[in-house]
Amino acid sequence: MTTMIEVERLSKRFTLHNQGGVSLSVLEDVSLAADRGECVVLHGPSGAGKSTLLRCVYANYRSQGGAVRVRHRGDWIDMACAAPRDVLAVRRHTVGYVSQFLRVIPRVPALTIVMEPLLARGVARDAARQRSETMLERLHIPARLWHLPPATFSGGEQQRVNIARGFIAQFPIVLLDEPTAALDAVNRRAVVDLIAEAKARGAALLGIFHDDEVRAAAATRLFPLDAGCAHGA
Amino acid sequence: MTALLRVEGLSRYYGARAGCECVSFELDEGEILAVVGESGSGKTTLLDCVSGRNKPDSGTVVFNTRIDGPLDVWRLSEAARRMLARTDWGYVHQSPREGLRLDASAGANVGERLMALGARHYGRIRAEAVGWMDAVELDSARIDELPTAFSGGMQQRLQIARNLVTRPRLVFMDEPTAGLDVSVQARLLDLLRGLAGELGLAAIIVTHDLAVARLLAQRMIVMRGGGVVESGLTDQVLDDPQHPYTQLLVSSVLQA
Repeated sequence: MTTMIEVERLSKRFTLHNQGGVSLSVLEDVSLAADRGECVVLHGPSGAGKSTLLRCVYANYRSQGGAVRVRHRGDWIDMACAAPRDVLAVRRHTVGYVSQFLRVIPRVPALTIVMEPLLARGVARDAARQRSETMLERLHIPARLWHLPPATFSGGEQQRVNIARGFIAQFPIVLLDEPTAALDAVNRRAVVDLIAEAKARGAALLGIFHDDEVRAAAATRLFPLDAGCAHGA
Repeated sequence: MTALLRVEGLSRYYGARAGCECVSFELDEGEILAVVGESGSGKTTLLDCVSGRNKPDSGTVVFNTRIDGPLDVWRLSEAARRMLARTDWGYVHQSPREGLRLDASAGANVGERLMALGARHYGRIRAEAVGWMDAVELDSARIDELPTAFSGGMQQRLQIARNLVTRPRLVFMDEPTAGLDVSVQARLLDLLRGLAGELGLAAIIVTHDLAVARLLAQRMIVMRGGGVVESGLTDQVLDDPQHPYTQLLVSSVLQA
């Protein structure tokens, strides 16, 4: 059993300088760990800091105290204080993140969006295209949409493109922020299958799921988060 | 790993006023850095001091050259600095009219840097120019036309081709998309994003447009009053800004 994510006494506060310097404490003293092959599900009410915790692990948010270590090619890297070039290397090779919403870029087609993580890791273009097409098929994105930019896609289609991008590179660590929120039953099952496969190949997953059924199917265990409380592992 | 560019304590004063003050950063090979901030914050002064166009009052700019390794740009002879600017560096001006020769054909504009490096074979220079016009999605059948016959967006792409022809490792860009229609802007950004990835270009892009920074740059620095108030990964700075000024900048963007 190898630990892949180790959050230790993490604190995250937002100081709103232009709103009178209000300080919002979102995470206080949070510690948690995730091992290879397990999916730890963050569980708690809206505003408890679930998405914030995921963003701290991805170093999208900075933190005010504690450590956020991820195992990157055998070494521990603390994302809370890693140099930008190290964070970029971790994102390229180790940690995948499926955000709640796809950020669409004008003129960039769906297929390219899915291929990008593979190309960034040096996978040849043809192989990257084939794997991406297979992934889009699994998530029921019709082939006629592959070469279009997703700006005009439905919410569910955009989310599936985002999921395809998050799972395509088989990252050792995958962060999932409500990946099934806009999906129908068939596609929810497809995502549950992807999560099961990721666990089977030894990835560590950290996720947020509001759908009870998906949560029950995906979770190895739950990690409770409550607004404004201190948490222990 | 040696950085491609290392800037340390760079300052440039205009009288008593600081154009830029004590700016330090590093840039790796293939990395794109955005410099953002409002007008008058010192973005262009910084770009010019780094790119050898405006001598700083203090500080160092060390560029890791292909042959001689790291060299302090401002301790080189004027000739050596010009040579660097013509070969390993590119500079894309906000206005293509500043960066192009308006009385020379499109092909001559693209070929000029090659000729400055001693290329004399007309056929080969022309073939390179055709290749680069294709790469920036310009109709190479118009190779003999003057840039003044091109639209603003086309002129900007021609300026980019003119800079990339010597395969520079570092390109400086001063508001490359400002003043273009949004549809033209999207095409240019897409092109820049693709070229940077394919050629492994490093770039410093001055922009006041946060969306441009997010699209193109892995890292960014935020300037105000000549100084750097915040720096970090682009998504970090934009999604979780720490400094009051950065928070104001990010919250002031209109959502379309």
